[in-house]
Parts: sequence; structure tokens; C-alpha cells
Amino acid sequence: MNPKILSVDDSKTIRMLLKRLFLPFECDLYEAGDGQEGLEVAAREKPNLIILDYNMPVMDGVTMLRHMRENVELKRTPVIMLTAEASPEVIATVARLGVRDYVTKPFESEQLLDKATRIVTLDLRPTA
Amino acid sequence: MTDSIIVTEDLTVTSGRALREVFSKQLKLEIRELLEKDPFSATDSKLLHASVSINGERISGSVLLQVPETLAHKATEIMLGVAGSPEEIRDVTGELCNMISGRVKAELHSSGFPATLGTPTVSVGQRIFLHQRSETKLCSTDWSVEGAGKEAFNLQVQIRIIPS
Repeated sequence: MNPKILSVDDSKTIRMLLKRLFLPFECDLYEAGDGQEGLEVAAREKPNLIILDYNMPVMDGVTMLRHMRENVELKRTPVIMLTAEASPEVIATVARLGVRDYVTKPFESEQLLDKATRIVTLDLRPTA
Repeated sequence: MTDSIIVTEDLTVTSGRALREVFSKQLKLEIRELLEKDPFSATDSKLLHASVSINGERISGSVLLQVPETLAHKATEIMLGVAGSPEEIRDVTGELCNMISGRVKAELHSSGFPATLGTPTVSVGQRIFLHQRSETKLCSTDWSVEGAGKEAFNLQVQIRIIPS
């Protein structure tokens, strides 16, 4: 079964960029535009990895993380933060909430891919 | 920590560094600062304005990125790998401004002014000039992409220190 990756970001640009990044690999990518939607998709799909923004409308990334950690089914889901937010307080907060890695925007695609492959196995799709 | 830490020159250096990093890392484009006066007079295409607010207990302000449509198209193609719809082009411009703002905010934080970022807003129109008021620090710099002719774009950062 392909690994499931959930991208939670209010920026369509970032969601499209991640779609492009993971397209060559055998994985199923899901999207959400804020933390509330992210929780709903995560509860439904049980992703193997969540790539999560911090600053979003409706529900921010830290609040989504707190809800996840209170949910038996989601509390162990690995999360990589991908955010323009780089303050030490936020980094410390998400570290306490068990975030596996932290990537600040702007970012190199290869850097994010490298961190993702430490969490999920990504095999290249067979070429036609 | 004194309020004098934020001076316009520092803001210029900080925002320039943030802009260079975003263009270099995210778009693989090298940029240079333009020193001539009003390089925008040579720009015919419409401008996209992306703005992000920065607000904290002791500061408020905003970051404004103004890029010609042609450069916004180019940035979209680089980031998304496709030409992009008008909505996608606006979103890319907003995201670039968001990244620059994040870097500026991080430097403000390390100077003792923690703050949070707003979400980007994007509009289209003529060049905007933010006005400097007595209690604000404002920097405005013009830039161009290396090897891409004289098409200019502009970054303005405005910060107001809230008296304690």
C-alpha cells in the first residue's frame, strides 16, 4: 500500500509545489487548506506523514497538533512543520508536541524530500 | 533592549537579505538592488501587490512586495512547473511575500520584538508608495532579476514601534 501524505497549508502554491515534489513517487497525497480541514482529512485517511503549516486561518498548525495529540488514532502520526514562522517559541512548542522535523520557508525541495524519506518509504513510480 | 535597535538602515539590510534568500532558494534567481531613481518608470506591465501584516505587543507593520505581472508569471512557472492561472499567480506572489515576511519577523524577534504574521493579501494595480510617518520606520528598495533586463520590482517594509 502506498504511503499517505497529507499537506496542510492555506497556500495553494505550497500544496501544488508538494504535489509536484511527490508526483514521481508511489504515494497518495491529500490536501487541506487549514487545521480544521486537516483534522478531518487526517481522521478519515490516517496519513503516514503530515506536512503542516503554522500560520493558517480557521485553525493554525499548533492548534491542529494539540487536537491530534489528544486523539488516540492520530497522536502518533509523524509531522513535519513547513512554515515561514521561525521564532524560537514556536519551534519549542511544536517540539514539545512531538513534531519530527521543522523546515522553514523558503526551502529547497530536496531538503524537504530528504526529511520525508526518513519517515516514509518513497519508491519511484514505474515509468510507462 | 532599546527601541533604537530598529533603525531604517537595519530594516533595509534585513529585508534585502530576506528577499535575496527567498529568490535564491525558492526561485533559483539571483537579484540585484537597483540604485537609480524610480526604475519603475520603464515598466509597462501591471504590478501585483502582495502584503503581509506584522503585529506584536510592541510593534506593528507590514511588508509590501510589488512585482510586474511578467515576473509573477515567471515565478509561478518556476515554483509550480506550469504557467498557472491568474489565481495561482496571485497565490505565488502572496506566498513569496509571506516567506520574506517570515524572515523579517524572525529578525525582529531576535531584536526583542516578537510578533505574528497576518495572511497575505494580493491586489493588482499601479505602484503603491507607503508614506513614512514620524513614528514609523520605512524602507523601500528596488530590485531586478540578474540577466532579465531592466524590469524592476520593489519591496517596502514599514514598522511602527508601539510606545510602552
